[in-house]
Amino acid sequence: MTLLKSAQYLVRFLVSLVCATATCLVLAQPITFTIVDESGKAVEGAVVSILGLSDSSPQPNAENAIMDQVERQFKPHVLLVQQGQNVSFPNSDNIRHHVYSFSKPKPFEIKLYANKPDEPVLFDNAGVVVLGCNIHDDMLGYIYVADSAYARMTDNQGTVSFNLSAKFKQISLWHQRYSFDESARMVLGSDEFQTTKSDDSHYTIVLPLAVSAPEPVAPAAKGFGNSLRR
Amino acid sequence: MPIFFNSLRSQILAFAAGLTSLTLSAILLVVLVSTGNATKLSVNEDIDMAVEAFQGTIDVRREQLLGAAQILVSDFGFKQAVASNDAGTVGSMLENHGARINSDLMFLSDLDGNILASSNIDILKGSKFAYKAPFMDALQGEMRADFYVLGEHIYQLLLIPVKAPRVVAIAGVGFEMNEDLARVLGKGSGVDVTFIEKADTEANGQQSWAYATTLPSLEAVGAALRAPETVQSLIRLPFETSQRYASRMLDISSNSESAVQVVLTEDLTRFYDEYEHLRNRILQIAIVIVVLAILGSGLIANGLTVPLKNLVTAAQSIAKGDYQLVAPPKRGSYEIQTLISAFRTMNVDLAEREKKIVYQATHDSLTGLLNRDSMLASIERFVEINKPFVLMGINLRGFKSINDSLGIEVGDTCLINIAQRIKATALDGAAARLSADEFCLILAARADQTENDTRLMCMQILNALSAPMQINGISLNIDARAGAIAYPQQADTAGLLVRRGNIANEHAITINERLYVYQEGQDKVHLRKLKILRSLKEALQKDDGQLQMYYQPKMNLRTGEVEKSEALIRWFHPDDGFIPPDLFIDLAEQTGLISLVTAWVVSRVLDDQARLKSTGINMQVSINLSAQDLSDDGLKFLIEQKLQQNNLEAHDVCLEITERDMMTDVDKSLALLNYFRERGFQISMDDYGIGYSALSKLAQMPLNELKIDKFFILKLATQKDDQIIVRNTIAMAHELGLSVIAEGVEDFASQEWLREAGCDYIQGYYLARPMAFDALVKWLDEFKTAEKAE
Repeated sequence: MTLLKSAQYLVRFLVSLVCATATCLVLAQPITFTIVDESGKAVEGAVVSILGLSDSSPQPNAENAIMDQVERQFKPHVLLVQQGQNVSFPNSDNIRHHVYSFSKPKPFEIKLYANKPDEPVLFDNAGVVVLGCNIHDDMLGYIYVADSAYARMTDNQGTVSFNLSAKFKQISLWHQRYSFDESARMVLGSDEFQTTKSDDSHYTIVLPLAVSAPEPVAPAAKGFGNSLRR
Repeated sequence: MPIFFNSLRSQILAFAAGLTSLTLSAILLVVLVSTGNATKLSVNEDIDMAVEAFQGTIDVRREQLLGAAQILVSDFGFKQAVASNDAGTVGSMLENHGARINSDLMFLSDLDGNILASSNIDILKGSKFAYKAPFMDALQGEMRADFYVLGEHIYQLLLIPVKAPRVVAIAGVGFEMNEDLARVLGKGSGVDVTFIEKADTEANGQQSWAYATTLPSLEAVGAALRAPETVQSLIRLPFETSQRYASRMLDISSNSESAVQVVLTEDLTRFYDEYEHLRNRILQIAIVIVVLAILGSGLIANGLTVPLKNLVTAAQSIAKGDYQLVAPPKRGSYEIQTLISAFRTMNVDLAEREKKIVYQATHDSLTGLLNRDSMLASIERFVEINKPFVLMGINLRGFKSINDSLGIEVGDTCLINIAQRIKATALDGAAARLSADEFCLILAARADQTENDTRLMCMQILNALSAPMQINGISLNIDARAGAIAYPQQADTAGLLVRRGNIANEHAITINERLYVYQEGQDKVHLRKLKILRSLKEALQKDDGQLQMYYQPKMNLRTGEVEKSEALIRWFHPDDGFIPPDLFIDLAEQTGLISLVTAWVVSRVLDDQARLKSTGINMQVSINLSAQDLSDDGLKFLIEQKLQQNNLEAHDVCLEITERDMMTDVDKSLALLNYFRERGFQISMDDYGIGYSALSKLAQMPLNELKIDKFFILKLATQKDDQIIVRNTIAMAHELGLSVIAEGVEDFASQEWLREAGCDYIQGYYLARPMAFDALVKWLDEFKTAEKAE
């Protein structure tokens, strides 16, 4: 995990460059985070959670959240739910799926089924649950079980906005490509980053992405043997 | 040495040996070079083949690894076991799947590279996978087989991400690159295979480490690693370390952290051996061929040189005169046989020709008798064996007239007849023809041969020769003169025999005897004569005062005047003193020298006459002529020339001749005398009364004067007989119209008797002795003075 640690140090340094040294944040004011990767590109689908606020305890919805399976893919790819939320796994394909997860917050298995399974699955532990299909190896999905009510997912601009009741002390950042450890989050103290503007309402945070973007996996190893041919 | 190199044999040998050696060297060179190239290609091909084999094997193994790995990681149970960290289950599954493909290594690591489970002690549980970059690639989802050094071995290892469904662990499956594999790889091509980890930097003293090899020893591995890829030379020299291996090294790791190489090594020993075997075989064949070439060319050369050598020997023998025939050719080439045959023919021809030449050189061509040289050799031979014999020389008389009158053919036939007769009597055929009419033969003699025996033997032969012979119907009588000498009584060496024989022969001719047998001491006289002749010739040539002219006055008895004188030659030899004219004149006449003497005399006398005339004295001088002078017109011209030169007249000169002088060629002599007479010269008959007195001829001769020989005058005063002859001679001469002169008048009485007898002139000691020119002038002066005084 040394790699990740060094990445975190790097992030801290960068955040300290872009954030103001403000020790307190303006109450009930909208605050915007823009998440970029190391090359400055906007990171979509990153989950930003504000931690340590008095009113930030999870607030699960009564209705079931939906993690659909469409054309052999989980839809949405990343589902953000509050701790204690029920999630339903309907199968929109006309083939069967065998949804499973070995993730610690919620290991479960819905064996070969079509249409809608009998029961939704309760995600009562916060964390990242990686979803797979035993039949279709390419199917990969994530359910982020948030431990904070202030948890949002960045849009395609890499931006996320909050209306906070109080000054935040800590935020956590997660993205599926952040670490080989699926559950790893980057946690930053409010003193560890600065605003890019003077109004303290907009922060740009660099989230390094260790895992490269998924690409079609070539089954054969490439390049081997070329060196033998002269 | 030059002879050796110049000899045909050595040249042929050298050529054959050189040519074959050169050819074989060229072949050897070409074969060896191509073998070398072929070997290089072969080595390359072997290595290429090994590369192919390696490639194929590795590909197959990678596919196996991939297959096994894919099955493993797609197993839901496995995923579940990994995800739930069930180490026991994971371990058993690894073992299970590894066994399926007979893999040597299977392990599982977490995402940080920590080994969670392993089937092999080369990678221990709890240790960390050492190759970070390939591991990172696996984390990113790549499945790649590569070569790594793990623990004590090199592995072909496939890293596989275990997805559940995200990568939750990395599994590794590998085959060990062991010696068995190396053996399999090299089997087809005969190439040795070594797997090594290449040292990062050789400079640090680190060395590449071989993990598996088919090479027999560590040293071999070291040599193979150092070996170049190609074969540099196949020639192994004893003082050089030869190249044992050719190696090709291939980097087979495709990641930057491991440096595994496969080394494909060809052991060149086999090629060296094959190469040397081939070289030795070619060399053996080459040696055999060179030996065969030398033997063959030697045989050919012998076929050429042995007969040639024999011919050379034969030619040398022929050069020495030995005509032994060369052996006929037994074998050998056509050319050599032809050469020997031609040589044999030439040999026979040469022998015949030489025989002929020798015969011609030793024999007289007409008569077949020996010639002079071979006769001398015969004489020497007889002397050598000390056999008594008589050497007889024969001169034919008047043979020239036979040739002249009857023709040469008759003459030749005559000579052949005579030769046959001579040869018949000669001892061992030792008979020779020495010149046209000169023969010589050897007669067998007794040991106690007397002169009389010799005489009898020789006369028999002469009689036989003079027997008449019939030639072309003409009967010829041959008269001969012969000299003889007996060996060893009269001369004991060949030289002496010949010389004395010649003397006897000449003597026989001179004295006109049929046979003259050599007399003791005769050769000394002969030698003296020869010496005198030589001296005379010298004296005439030098004209240094040895020869002088003396003049003896003649007195007219009627007038008492001295009107004439006789010129007489005198010879005062510086060593021998005075030499009598009788002696040397006779010799000169015999040898033909007399004409020279006469010429000298005429020249001197006419000069003196001119001098005398210039002093006012007119005196006729008389010159003695000889027979040869009269047979030659040369005298005529000489006298005329001197006369003109000295402004003299013909009557100033009187020519004295003898009857004997007329004998040789009467007609010619008469013609000459008539000429002189007509020109006005006085001609006097000298020595009248002795010798060949032929009164018949006296009348024919154009004479002016008769000189009565001193034989009748010397004792005239006392001898009655002489007086009668002289008186009658004077009368007869006067009747014939000739004046008369008496010579040898030595006393007053004789002079007076002659005066009374009517003799015209006198000459003699009483009046005056012959005297030199100056003395004559003085004497004449005194005589005149005395006359006047009377």
